[in-house]
Amino acid sequence: MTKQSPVAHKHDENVYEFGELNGYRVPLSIHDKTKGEFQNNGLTLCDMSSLNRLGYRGALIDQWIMKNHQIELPDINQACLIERGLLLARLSQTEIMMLEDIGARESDFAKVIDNSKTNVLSSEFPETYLLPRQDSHACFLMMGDHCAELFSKLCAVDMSIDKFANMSMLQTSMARTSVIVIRNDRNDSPSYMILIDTSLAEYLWDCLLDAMDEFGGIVTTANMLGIE
Amino acid sequence: MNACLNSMRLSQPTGLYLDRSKTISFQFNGQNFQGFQGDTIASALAANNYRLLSRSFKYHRPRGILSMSGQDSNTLVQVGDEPNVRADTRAIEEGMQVQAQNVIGSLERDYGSLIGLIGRFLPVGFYYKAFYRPKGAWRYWEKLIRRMAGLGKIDLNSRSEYSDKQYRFTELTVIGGGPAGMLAALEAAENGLKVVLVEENPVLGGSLNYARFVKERDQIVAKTDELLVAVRKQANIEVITQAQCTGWFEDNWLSIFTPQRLVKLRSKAVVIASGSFEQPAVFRNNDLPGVMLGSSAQKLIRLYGVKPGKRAVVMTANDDGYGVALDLLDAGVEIAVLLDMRKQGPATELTQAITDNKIDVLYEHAIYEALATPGNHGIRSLKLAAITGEGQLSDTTRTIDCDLVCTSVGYTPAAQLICHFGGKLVYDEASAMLKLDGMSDYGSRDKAIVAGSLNAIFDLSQVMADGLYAGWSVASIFNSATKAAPKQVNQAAQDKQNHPWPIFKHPKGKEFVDFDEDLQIDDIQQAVAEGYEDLNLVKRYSTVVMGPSQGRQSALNNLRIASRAAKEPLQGISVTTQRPPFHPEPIQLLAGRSFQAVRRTAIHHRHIALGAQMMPAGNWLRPAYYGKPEQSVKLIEQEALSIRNKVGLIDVSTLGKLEIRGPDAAEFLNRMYTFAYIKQPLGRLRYVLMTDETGVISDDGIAARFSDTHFYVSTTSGGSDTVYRSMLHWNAQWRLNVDITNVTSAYAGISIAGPASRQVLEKLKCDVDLSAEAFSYSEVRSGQLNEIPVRLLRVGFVGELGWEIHVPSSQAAYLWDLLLEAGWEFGCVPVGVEAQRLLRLEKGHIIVGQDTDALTLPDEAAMSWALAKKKPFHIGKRSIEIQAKQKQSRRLVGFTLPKNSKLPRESNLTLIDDTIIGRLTSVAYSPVLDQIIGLAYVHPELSEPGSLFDIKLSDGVRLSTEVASIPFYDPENLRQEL
Repeated sequence: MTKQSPVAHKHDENVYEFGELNGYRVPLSIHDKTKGEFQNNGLTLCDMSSLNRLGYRGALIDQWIMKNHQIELPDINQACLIERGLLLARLSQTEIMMLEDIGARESDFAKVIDNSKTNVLSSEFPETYLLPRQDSHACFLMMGDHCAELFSKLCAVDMSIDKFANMSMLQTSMARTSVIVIRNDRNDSPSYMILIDTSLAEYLWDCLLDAMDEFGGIVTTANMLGIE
Repeated sequence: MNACLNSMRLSQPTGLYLDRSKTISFQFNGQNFQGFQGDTIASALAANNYRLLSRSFKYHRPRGILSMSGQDSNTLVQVGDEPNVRADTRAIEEGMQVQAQNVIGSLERDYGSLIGLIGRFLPVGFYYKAFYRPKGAWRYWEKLIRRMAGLGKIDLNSRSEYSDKQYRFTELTVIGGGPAGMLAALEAAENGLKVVLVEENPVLGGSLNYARFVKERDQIVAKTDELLVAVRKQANIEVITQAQCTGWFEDNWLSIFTPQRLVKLRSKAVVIASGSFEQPAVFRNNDLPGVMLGSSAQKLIRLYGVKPGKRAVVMTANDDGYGVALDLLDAGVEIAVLLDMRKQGPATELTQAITDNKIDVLYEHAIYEALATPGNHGIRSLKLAAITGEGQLSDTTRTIDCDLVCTSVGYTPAAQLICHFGGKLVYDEASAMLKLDGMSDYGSRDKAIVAGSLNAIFDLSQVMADGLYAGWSVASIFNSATKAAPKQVNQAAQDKQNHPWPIFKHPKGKEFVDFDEDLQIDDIQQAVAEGYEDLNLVKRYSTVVMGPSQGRQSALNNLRIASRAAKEPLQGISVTTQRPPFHPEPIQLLAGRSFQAVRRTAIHHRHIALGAQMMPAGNWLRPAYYGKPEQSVKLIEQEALSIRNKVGLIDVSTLGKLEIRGPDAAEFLNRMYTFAYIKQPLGRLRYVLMTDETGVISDDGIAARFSDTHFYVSTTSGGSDTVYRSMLHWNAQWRLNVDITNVTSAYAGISIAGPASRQVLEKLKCDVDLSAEAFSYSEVRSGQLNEIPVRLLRVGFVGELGWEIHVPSSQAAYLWDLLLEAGWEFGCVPVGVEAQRLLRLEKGHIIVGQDTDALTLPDEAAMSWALAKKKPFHIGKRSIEIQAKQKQSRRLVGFTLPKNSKLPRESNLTLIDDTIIGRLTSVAYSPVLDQIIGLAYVHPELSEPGSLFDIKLSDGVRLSTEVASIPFYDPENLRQEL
């Protein structure tokens, strides 16, 4: 395990059991002795930086997606599920991001990366570039009914449930840092992926913890969200 | 019921706000008091028959409850370390320590009140005329005035409590949870709008909760309950109580203050239903504790279960005073007399109830003066007389014993928020009231509607109808009104509430118009007599309406008195400008929970574990050095020597990193930077120097070329965002075929430097040949170190054999550990920024921003070697060429001083004789050279080695030095090319 999330150390070893995920040392579950202290009050935060993600930019990106995944690109600032556990988010006319989501098969993202290596930089798609989103951005998952209220403490954009629809994406400022937020509901619960510059990840994590406090939010782990 | 023994406490159902099961103990001026949960400081003291709350600002006159709504300065107290708390709205808490403020001595015996004895010598504006004579006297007066100025005490050691901010959005915001506000909210919500209803009190209801309205109040209580249930059940309404809207700004941006949070509420539409302020009557001693507004007495009774007094006189100019008298009677207060200032009251059920209760009513009568108890702590009786004209009373007076005076002489709209938005309050003689002007076009322009008593509507059923209409009107603006239009209230057909002149001058004065500033009728008239006739001038000269209450109780009467004194007609006169905030805004909430982003490298926590002292570098945190601060000088020298003699690791992750990819990548760099990049060989590094359009140095770094179409460029730590933005900006104009990606955070950087650095790297599994022959200085390779993908850049910033290893940030900490472990046997240590800066100084390398400023040209910084003069263009080239033809005024040079010299500081001046010729930009003691070295600006003619100049130290001492060649260390650059 050579990789490390920028907020890995924020998880107390006495509380969380660590394990390996995608080459990262991550908190996978909560020690039995402390499980009783974790009551989900409708707001959870999970570090998902260890899940795979990759960016692409180029004028022919729509053709590349069509060739490799047989789908049309969503509108700008919208996301869509390509297949189980594989999320595509469109940041601009010429830029997209592929994100591994909870429930992705191990082979899914490997296929994406293989396709990238073989196709993206090929002559068929000139001037299409890979963007190192795995390391440029950390990824958090915020989940629960209080999310919109929590975001209202950090962000000046209206992210209420009826204004920021599922599979919508926002490129905005949260706690005075640039973030990308993708709403990706699961189990009928509002759920948001927050992508933040790696160097600012610890700062934003602390801001989120502070904002969560009034709602009794908890930091959860990959296993508790069903990631094996 | 809990055993809370309050002598003036009433039994239930009075005390809507109280939880009588919980007794709260607190202290006021060191004395123990008890109240119930829900009591305010003032109500709890009143329940204990304690009326004296504060002393006035100027004359230190005793003051008590006036408005019971947080709208006056009479109840300002100090709570713990918090000054200027309004005692009539702040709830008591267990153990709360409350102190009177602005007292000299004690609240009961305030020696400051002696100022009142010389009050006749302190007329309005006296401070403009008094303190500047005789010459030089001001310095003595200033001390005294400063001591007397201000209210309350700031505790500089107090810790601010947690507070934060929130952004909210809604379709409609209703300000005011009284009858009009609730009806407006309900109607809008029932028509499908999302509504936020903002109420400053703990519960909704407004005047429904305390005013009488009718003879039998049960029907009001039932109606209130019905409304509250309806609001509670309406899913489209969100209620925020204990919240004050302090400002209404463009695009319906509302600042809402709750006790711990500033809510920035953006609303598509706004209904203002903030009600009215009851106005005081002006008569001698109208400020004594025991004289209060009629609505205040009703609030004490109904909201707090407190009997306001024992024997009362009620003076009224409307039916509300009759309700006050009946409420007092119900509360067990004896009514000595009811003074109706009108010729005759209308025949209503309230007036009939007064008759039924055999209350003595005197029409066309008013109070001549209130007579104080010993010490002026309350009233013992008052003199009343018949009204004979405007502000005139009969010489025949009658004295009546009482301890409570309640006045109900009229209202002023609480229209401050509307005035923030351009509304005006103008005087209407027919109603003797200030009315809103200029609101008619608001509905269509800003979706803003006014409702209730703000519209000079006071009849309860009409107020509710007005609220209903406001709610429907907003819905109709949004085209979402599904219900039929309700009937609009005729505002012109309302009963008169205000007496046109509730102001009675007394030969001995002390009839207070403005309680905040102790301004009396004479003061206002005197200001006008001195030529300050305009209301704005009266305000500024006398300070009327400028105190904590901002004219809520004084603006109307001041307008009347000043206009009459100036012989101006009252009709159409408007009050002075109302500006935000409507309520005081705690600085804690304005400042609270500010966000200051801090960037950390991927190796940050390794540095902490190694004992690093972190320092800010732009918005990054970097290790300054490793170890204890008291040993910093020694530690920095040791770290520097480690790199010179052995090997060290420096975290250089903060350097900006940009990928420049595409067919035009080389052309793009050629335009952005001063050097030449078209022919830069693959696998080679080249220095990059950026200048702006004026030719000034703006950044520098290294460009690594991986392919014909791919450059990897580093920037300074603080410059990455600026350079990235600049590149995007220019490429948007040039439209070259390049892609620019900021990968600063994607890659961490570890600089390994020192004679043993190659040996350390070779201990790791490296797929790149690191030998001098295969990988020479100024080259770049991609490869793997222990299977970690890396970019290896052979650079020499610190002047030793070394590499910058750029690694995916997720694996940087792991690689740092590997390198430290591998380097252990070679004496490898972590090295901080301070040692790095010393090492580069030994090599004479500049730091952009430290050795350059916002005007430094390449020639001045001795960087003309980095200009490719033959290429046709780069940003700033034309400016550099023009300025090269001008005579230059400075040049960056090196200098040395003996090791035992006093160490100069950066920015110390350089001089020739007494002429300043520049300043030092970098200076340090070099342990490897055993002397002080530095960089400094001097005249260009002094740039040759050996030229003499002086350095002026911070203490004025001058040192002579001479220009030295740079680099100071290893001038042949042999060590970095090993």
